[in-house]
Amino acid sequence: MTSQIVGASNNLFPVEVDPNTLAMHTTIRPDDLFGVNAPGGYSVGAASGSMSAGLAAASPIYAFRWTDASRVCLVKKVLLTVGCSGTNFTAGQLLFNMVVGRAWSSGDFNGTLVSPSLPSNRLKSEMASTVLQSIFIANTGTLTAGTRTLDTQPLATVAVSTTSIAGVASSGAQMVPYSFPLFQAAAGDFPLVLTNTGGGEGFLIQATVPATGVWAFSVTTIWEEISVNTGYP
Amino acid sequence: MAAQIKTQISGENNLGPAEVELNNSALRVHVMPEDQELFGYYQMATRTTPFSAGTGGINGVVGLLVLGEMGNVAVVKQITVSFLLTSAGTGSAGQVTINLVRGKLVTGASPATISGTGANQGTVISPMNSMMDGRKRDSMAIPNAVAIQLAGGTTNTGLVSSAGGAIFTEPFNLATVTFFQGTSVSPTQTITNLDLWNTGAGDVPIVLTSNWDALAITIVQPASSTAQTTDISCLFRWHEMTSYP
Repeated sequence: MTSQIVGASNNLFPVEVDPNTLAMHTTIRPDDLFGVNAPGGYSVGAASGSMSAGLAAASPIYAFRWTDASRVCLVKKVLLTVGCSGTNFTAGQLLFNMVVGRAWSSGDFNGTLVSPSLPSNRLKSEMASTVLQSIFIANTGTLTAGTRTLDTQPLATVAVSTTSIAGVASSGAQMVPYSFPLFQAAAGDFPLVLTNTGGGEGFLIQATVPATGVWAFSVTTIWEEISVNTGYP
Repeated sequence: MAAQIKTQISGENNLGPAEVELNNSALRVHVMPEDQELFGYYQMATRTTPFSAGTGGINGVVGLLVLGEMGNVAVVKQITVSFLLTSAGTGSAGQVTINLVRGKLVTGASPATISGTGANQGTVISPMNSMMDGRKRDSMAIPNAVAIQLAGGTTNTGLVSSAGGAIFTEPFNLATVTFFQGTSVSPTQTITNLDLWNTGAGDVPIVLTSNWDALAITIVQPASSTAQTTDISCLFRWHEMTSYP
């Protein structure tokens, strides 16, 4: 016995099956975020100014904090770019960590606030405004740490040796490639799921850099918000 | 125990059933592009040299994708930017930031009239050489969205509404990439096809739904010295439907 599958509105023409590969035709759609006044998908990109040399080890330079109780935040992509200015670094290692923060009761601050407080940064205008608590990105120095418990081990790490760029930094050495995927949940991958547990959750990007050298970085974060009642997964 | 009913799925034209793999028991599928309905799939590239020698830019617009008023929506899949700083002259070292930002043309503005509003924004060369350009198949419809190529040699900052221009932009960017250009650019500094936006399988695309919704690529760049030239090209890839999803 064979059956044919028809759609909800297109209930006349059934799904096709290729005659030779015997594969059923499908299209891939994103998560269902498109209902009126339902949560949605968002993206924010931001850049630092010229960052100071010789930050303390593991200094927080980017803080993404979620505190809302009505929704769950699904972080899909975190893209990092780091470049060196005309002031070369001494030989050493640059280290960038993405670390999850839990029980985040007080936010990191003192950089530039880039949270989309207005109804902006939606991937479709009809989506509801984000309820993200805050994004802070460092401007010239480290962020001031908030109250949170960081995981012992980072989710992602990228390390760069400055010895390989000594002498060429004046031409704009790129230390972390453009839009390097520090975190990326592809189709079928599990995203980073943030809730308001313990006052909030989020992630930091931490930097450890050699004593001299001036640099700048940018971060683009793409996330989705779903109702807490939806549950995930 | 209830009897299990086995059903095979047959196609619309091919009545032979779909296959299920022997070992992992997975249904065999063929991933198709999303349905273009009566519209189509489009891709278009633009190029500009935004700043004349001796000037820099603060959020100068270097590329635009604007939705027209035919009523269908644009589902934006990919936006790339290429950046070339030539070896001619001596540049000014400093931080360069390229942004993707959502915006909207002000009431009454249109791609054809951008050049007539605001100050210092240069001139729109042409939305397209032909309204039929950019289709990925000849039988596809004329696109509702248009990629706009801007004239070179200006800061193009007048396009942004704060300067009385033609585009309201949102306060924060959708995507940002930053890097440094140096004082001596030999060899030339080149970035090729950098993804400002790339919708992967299962990712949420950027959807333009209202008339004159726009996506702008902006750049912040230090002032350049004599004869140094920046050359920027943008690529837009999208498809159009009556609604999304």
